[in-house]
Amino acid sequence: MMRETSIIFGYELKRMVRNPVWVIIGLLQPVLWLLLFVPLLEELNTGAPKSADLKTFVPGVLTMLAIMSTLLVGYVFLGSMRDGVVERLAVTPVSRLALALGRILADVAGLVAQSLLVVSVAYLMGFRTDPSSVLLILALMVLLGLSVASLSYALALNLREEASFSSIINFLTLPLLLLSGMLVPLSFAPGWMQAAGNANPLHHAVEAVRALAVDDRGATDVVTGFLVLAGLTALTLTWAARSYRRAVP
Amino acid sequence: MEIEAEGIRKTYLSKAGPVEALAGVDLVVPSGKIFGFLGPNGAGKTTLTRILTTLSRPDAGRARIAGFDVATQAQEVRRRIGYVSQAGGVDSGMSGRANLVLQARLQGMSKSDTVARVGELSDRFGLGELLDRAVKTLSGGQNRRLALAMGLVHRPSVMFLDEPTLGLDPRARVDLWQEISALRADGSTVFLTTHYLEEADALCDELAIIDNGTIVSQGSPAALKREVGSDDVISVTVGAGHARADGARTEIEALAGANRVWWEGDVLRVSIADGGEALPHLLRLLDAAGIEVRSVTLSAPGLDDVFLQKTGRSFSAEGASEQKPKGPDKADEKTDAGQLQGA
Repeated sequence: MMRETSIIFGYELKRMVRNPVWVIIGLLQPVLWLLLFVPLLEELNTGAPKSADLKTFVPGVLTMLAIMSTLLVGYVFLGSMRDGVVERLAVTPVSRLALALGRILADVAGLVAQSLLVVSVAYLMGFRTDPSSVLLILALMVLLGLSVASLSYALALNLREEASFSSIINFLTLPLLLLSGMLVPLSFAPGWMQAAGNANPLHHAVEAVRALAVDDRGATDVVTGFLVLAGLTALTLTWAARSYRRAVP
Repeated sequence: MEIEAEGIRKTYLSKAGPVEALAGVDLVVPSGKIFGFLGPNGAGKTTLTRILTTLSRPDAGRARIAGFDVATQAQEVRRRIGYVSQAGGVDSGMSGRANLVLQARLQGMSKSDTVARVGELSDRFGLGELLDRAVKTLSGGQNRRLALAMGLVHRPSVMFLDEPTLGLDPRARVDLWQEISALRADGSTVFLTTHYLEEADALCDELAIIDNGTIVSQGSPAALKREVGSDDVISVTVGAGHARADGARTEIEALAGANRVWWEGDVLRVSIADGGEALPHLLRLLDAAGIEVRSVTLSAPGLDDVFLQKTGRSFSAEGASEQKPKGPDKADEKTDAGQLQGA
């Protein structure tokens, strides 16, 4: 089981790195967010020092990155289904759990690499956080990546075709992003929007990362963030696993 | 017996209502043979293949591969079978080598065994430098050869090929036929589905013809054709002035199995049960009667005649749409899903 999972994991990582689109877009895009957005923050002149701006903004970029890079994994998976790859692997004596786990762990590993890159670039721009906070941030990213990737796979397995998959993803993304307070903290928003934001698990992820960015590791936001994401991961992972078992008994 | 199936039933719920894809299929395939499953699109071929390869569970009935039950001993079955689906199953985002290596490793082979086996298969299928190219750049025929090599990586005793030559050009198709025939020479059993009559005729030792989820006929291609009773036709073009020279007619009509003898211009036609056997006798008779023979053709009855007789419909009209849309059959898999939830 371990052997099989690590074979799939290694294969999927190689596949990711071999894909120039992933390397360019996946690695460049988050850096561009920082490079092209942070100067705007300075111009906005919020009155706060630059490092404070970064501590609000970097967590937003990280969360957005988690969504952008894992929400579409289902799309790639649909291509594999179309090519018969999913079936072909299912006719090997490999456990279903290993097939699924190897793949999803590779997605998460990709996200962790992207996150580390963002944190490093942010560091060069003046973002300073305690290493233990960074580790906790990465732990949150792992949970976020697991849940969003599971959601994406579950949707792909249930919809079975790219057109409806893309429509649903597009439909989901905008409100999820806007109601998470990623770019502009929801504390600026009217009451009804804040209420809606509280129902959005992503909002709690952003708030937890923000608390960690200012090294407030004991904050309620951090605890809430971990609990919400752990719950979300359990739910989406179960849904994805069930959908997968139905597709390949 | 390599493959045994008994009373296999499968019903799908499509938007138009329940569709009985398999209505009680019984099947026995001996080892070392190429067994063809012939039928028009939608006849139930892929459904049966998916059940036999452990990808789908039947609603009723049992199937065993090499003695192992496909439903309760799926892992044992998976170790012993190779499967090339209609879509091929090659990961186009990777090189052929990476595809082969993954397949070998997942079948439990060690790293060094994998390297050796990939080398063997590369030689056998003439893959060579193609192995390190992106799969996207391979031709349809090359892609199929790679898919076949992937299915064979763990030396399975039974190979399942679902429409192996679908969409290939004639040249690539004949090449692939040779590769498939070579599997039999290795002692493997091959189960293939096809809706090409000439493919079934050229490749298979034994055939089952399926229509609307039921096997309507089973046997060797030659036996099936004999069963429908359509005769071979021998056509002899004779030299000028020899037409209607009926000197040998009585003897020709007396040949074993001869049903009808007639002239069409310069061509003498003989409708006869076993044309191949009768041909030398016929030529000798013509020679003895002093009739000059210019050319001879022998046409055998086709499997389309068999299909027509068994189903009352012409095969070519049924299988007219050559290429199924790529990708998983939605109705098919969705319902599969629904039914398996409780399983």
